[in-house]
Amino acid sequence: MSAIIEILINLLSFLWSIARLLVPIMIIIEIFKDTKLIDKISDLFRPVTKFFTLSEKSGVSLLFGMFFGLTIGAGAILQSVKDYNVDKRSVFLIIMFLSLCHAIFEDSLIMAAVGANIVHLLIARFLAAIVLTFILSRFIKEPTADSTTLDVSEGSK
Amino acid sequence: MITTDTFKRGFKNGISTLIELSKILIPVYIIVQILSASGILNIIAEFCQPIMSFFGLPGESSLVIILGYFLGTYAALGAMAAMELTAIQITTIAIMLSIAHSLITESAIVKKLGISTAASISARVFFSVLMGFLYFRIFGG
Repeated sequence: MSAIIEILINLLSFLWSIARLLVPIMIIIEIFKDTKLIDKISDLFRPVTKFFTLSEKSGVSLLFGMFFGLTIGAGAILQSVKDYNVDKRSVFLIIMFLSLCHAIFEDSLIMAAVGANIVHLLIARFLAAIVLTFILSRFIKEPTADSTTLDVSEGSK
Repeated sequence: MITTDTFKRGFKNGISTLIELSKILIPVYIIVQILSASGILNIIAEFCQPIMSFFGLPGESSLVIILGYFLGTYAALGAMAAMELTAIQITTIAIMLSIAHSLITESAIVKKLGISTAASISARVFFSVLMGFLYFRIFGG
């Protein structure tokens, strides 16, 4: 019985740890939108989105995922799909990049605290994410029909 | 223009996204807890011990990697604290774990966006193993 209560308490604190980041970030995203700052960020990320042949509005999701982690990044992407119709191919590529490289501050600092070389760690992580995303972006066709991109994402085991 | 409506919209989006994500997070969280309590992970770790020399790591560090892959970074670091490791070995583990960790929870989240679990897990484990191996070959050999 006490084990169940402990799991419930842990579950609540786990959800709270996500909520206290997710809600402020969603508010920040709305502020970015209303002040047109989101266009400036998208502009800033244009070289990146162009290199990976992503939809232009993907930059913001990439930014938040990289800084705050995959769960927050996924939340931002869910929202950006609703707001800007970001195509499935871009969502797939961003998620693959973020899968390998997210929460770079939190993760790297914890690892540095136990004695890891933070520069080597960051280089290895970015390198892996860039190589994977670059290869996938050249293999998966540009979005002419959404269905084709979905097939690839389901099939690439 | 920023109005109170901006904040309202942001708050509403935050809550609805949280609910959306919770539908996955809650069941997965419970599964992971059960997995952690069951002792299955120790059995997998024991099985993986011989592979660790591939990355220039001692056999017992397989538990660190397995805990990291299944449960998350914090659980892995807890297991690592008791071990004697060189700086290169710690960085190797750090690289492998930062690329691939919390695979059950995070691949469930990613599934929500229509990305197959197999694709995300295999990409992460592949690059985790590859980068760990390369790092050991380049700096540890």
